Amino acid sequence: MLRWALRRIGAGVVLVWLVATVTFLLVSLAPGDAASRLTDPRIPPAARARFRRDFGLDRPLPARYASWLAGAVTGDLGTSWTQRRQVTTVLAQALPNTLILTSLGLFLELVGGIGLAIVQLRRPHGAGDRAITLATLTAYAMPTFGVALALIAVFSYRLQLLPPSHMLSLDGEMAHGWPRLLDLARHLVLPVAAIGVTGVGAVARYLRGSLLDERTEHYVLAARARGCTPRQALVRHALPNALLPLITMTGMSLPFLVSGSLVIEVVFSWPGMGQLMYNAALGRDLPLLLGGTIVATVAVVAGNLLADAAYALADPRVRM
Amino acid sequence: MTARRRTLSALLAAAALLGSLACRRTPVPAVKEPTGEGPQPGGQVVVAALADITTLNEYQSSGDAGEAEVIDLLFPALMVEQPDYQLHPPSFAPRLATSWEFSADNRDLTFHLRPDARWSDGTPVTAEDVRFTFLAQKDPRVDSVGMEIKDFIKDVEVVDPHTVRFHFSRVYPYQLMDANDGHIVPAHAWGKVPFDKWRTTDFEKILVTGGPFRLAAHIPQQTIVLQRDPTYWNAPRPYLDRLVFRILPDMAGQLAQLFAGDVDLVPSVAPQEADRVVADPDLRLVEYPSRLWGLVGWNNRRSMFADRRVRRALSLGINRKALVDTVFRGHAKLATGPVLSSMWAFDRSLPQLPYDQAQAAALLAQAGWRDTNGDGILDRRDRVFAFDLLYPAANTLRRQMALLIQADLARLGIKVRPVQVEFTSLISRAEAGDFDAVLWVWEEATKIDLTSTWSTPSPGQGSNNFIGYSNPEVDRLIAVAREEPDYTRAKVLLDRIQEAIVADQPVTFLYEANRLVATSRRLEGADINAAGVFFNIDDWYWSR
Repeated sequence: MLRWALRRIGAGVVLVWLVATVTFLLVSLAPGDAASRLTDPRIPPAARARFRRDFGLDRPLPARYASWLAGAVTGDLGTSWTQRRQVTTVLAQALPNTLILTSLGLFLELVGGIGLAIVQLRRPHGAGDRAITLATLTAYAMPTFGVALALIAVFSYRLQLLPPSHMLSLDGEMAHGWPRLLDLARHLVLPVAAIGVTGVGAVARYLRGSLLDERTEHYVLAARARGCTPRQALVRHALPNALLPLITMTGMSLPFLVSGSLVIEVVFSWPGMGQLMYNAALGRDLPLLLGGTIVATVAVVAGNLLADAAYALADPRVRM
Repeated sequence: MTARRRTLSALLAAAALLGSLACRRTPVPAVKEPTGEGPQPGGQVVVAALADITTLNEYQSSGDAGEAEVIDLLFPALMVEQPDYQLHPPSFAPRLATSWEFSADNRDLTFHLRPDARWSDGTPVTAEDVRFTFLAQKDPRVDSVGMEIKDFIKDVEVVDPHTVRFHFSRVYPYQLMDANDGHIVPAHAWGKVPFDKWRTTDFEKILVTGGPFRLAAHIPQQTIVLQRDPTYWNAPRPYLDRLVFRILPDMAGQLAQLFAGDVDLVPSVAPQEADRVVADPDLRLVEYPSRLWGLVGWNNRRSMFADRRVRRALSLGINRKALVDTVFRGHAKLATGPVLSSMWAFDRSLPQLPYDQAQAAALLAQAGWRDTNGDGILDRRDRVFAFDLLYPAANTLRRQMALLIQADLARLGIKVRPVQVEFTSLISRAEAGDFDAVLWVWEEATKIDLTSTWSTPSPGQGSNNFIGYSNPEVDRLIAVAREEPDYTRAKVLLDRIQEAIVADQPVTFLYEANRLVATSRRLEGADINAAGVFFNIDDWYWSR
């Protein structure tokens, strides 16, 4: 077990290094650099050349890579070129905001999806099943921004029930304790719903399919023969087995958890990783992009590791 | 200009009329008896902002307009530039400096500072701060974006705590403007950070301000709260208690919150949304000529566009008036030449090129472009007249323009392929001269210096002349005009430069955009103009 974990972690470190290196090359070779943004007749054109010199953009690529790597291995990800603050500080501010949003969204997806699939399997191919299939398919096919805008239009502007943007209201930002938490909760409802609504369809459809398969397995029939009700057979016996692939699916979602959703974050003015990385990419802010990439890659590695471990715990047939 | 003002007021009057007719909603009920006299102190104005600020130290900033506005509310400047550049180079009003005078030879400029100005920690703002700011501006380790602006200021001398003298190395028209450029920063607080650490220091942690407002809170990517500074020298102003910037990266979201009343001011409204703002009885739309102008840049180095007859034909062949009216719906003006028509130096005798496809076709034929093989596309020596027109991705206005230009030029037998390019890549391709034609926008300063955009780029020197325009006569005139201290004499030279550039048509001048600002109608006293949205923030107040 320990050797397995160590080997996987070692491979993970190599993967992070590889991805960071490729990112470094891609961003450096992409046309334009951070200094391009200083194109404005009000800014003396010489400022671009000075910017390039200040941030070492005029040095050869291998030299720049070497100094970045030297910093990165000691945990120094450098200073963001667009924000003039430590990359780690910038990331540490955005990451929790994204995590709270995406983890709740993912939770809603899973719970909602599992619940819907169970309801559907009460009477497969019945009217309820078909209606839910149609609804989940529609939700799955809808673009996230469309759902988000529709939610805002209805719940913020028509019904005036929930705030359309930001993590906190102006009063909430000044408040402490419960009022602040309550304010945050109100602001979370719509973006979490937007993530959940579009994601729930995938989970429900996936689980319904595998539940249908499991239902006809011998062990389920055996359970029924021992006197389990159809519902008990489904929930106690078929469901745990049908859930196994979901573990992998959830593990694969971990990068989404940390890198966030750009669309959701822009529509709801949510200060998370999605917006941060998007702006960093547009501004060719290499240190910040690399920092974000490392966080996302670590999440991928950790996600796979956790999924495999969880799989092994959940399924005794799997040996490490 | 007066004509423009008149149309503007007519527009606003029409808006008001429309508003009163459509008014069903009662505007906010009167809380107390209307006293009617003078400004009421208190309240807050919520402003929508597209992006967060990255620094509050101007000398770290890359010059983002929104950031500059926040910095202007927090830090003192010697003077306030006035929005009167239509008539002459901008004049200045007192701010930290109560008065100033030039020496007889115009090489020394002395400012008298107000004695009652205080930093937010209570320390007086003195001549030492002005000198310290100058040292930071000039220091290559700080390397501020506008460093070159101070090139001709040799030194700043502290005469006494409230008198400071700028020594110039030469006499030129923009001495006042250059001396005033940049806000004064606190020597006692920021002087503790060595200059070589400035580029990587988080100045918000050691923030000391000296403007009408203080920074009360900054929640990254969410909110910037500015609180009235009670020790501000212009007390009881500002009347507002708070100015809140809400970060809303989505323009549609900004307007939605404006209509819902969650936001009181949207600093930049898209032209296609203007009618909705005008139709809302609770809102006011302020419109004025911005210094933003658009063009098609032809790559003058490429043989296709090297001939000025061809470039002229392209300008004649595009229905520019229709393009500007369609895309901007009346919120922009047809551009004429390299100086904005809203500026004092604009040559009013310049002819506006008409839309004349016959003349365009004739000019193209003169330059050797004919359709010899009858395929509907012009050719010359086995080359067809076809090129890519680049424009920034996700910019709907410029996409519309590209399509209209494509259609107009197709009628002349020119094949245009509109290509959208990610913004930073576009800039780098422009810089490298790797393009045929590009839809571009410039924002002009109030200082008229045509060097960086229109002079032949000299090797090693930075330049914004991406299109590779080169006319030795224009180079010479620009060099003479920028040295001329008397603006009426400079105007004569600037007129000749404009004539020459318009005759050369190195670019097709498309439009001069208006700025559209939407505010709550209850906001009183706000004089929003080309000098800035918050130009007279001290005098803003809420009615009733």
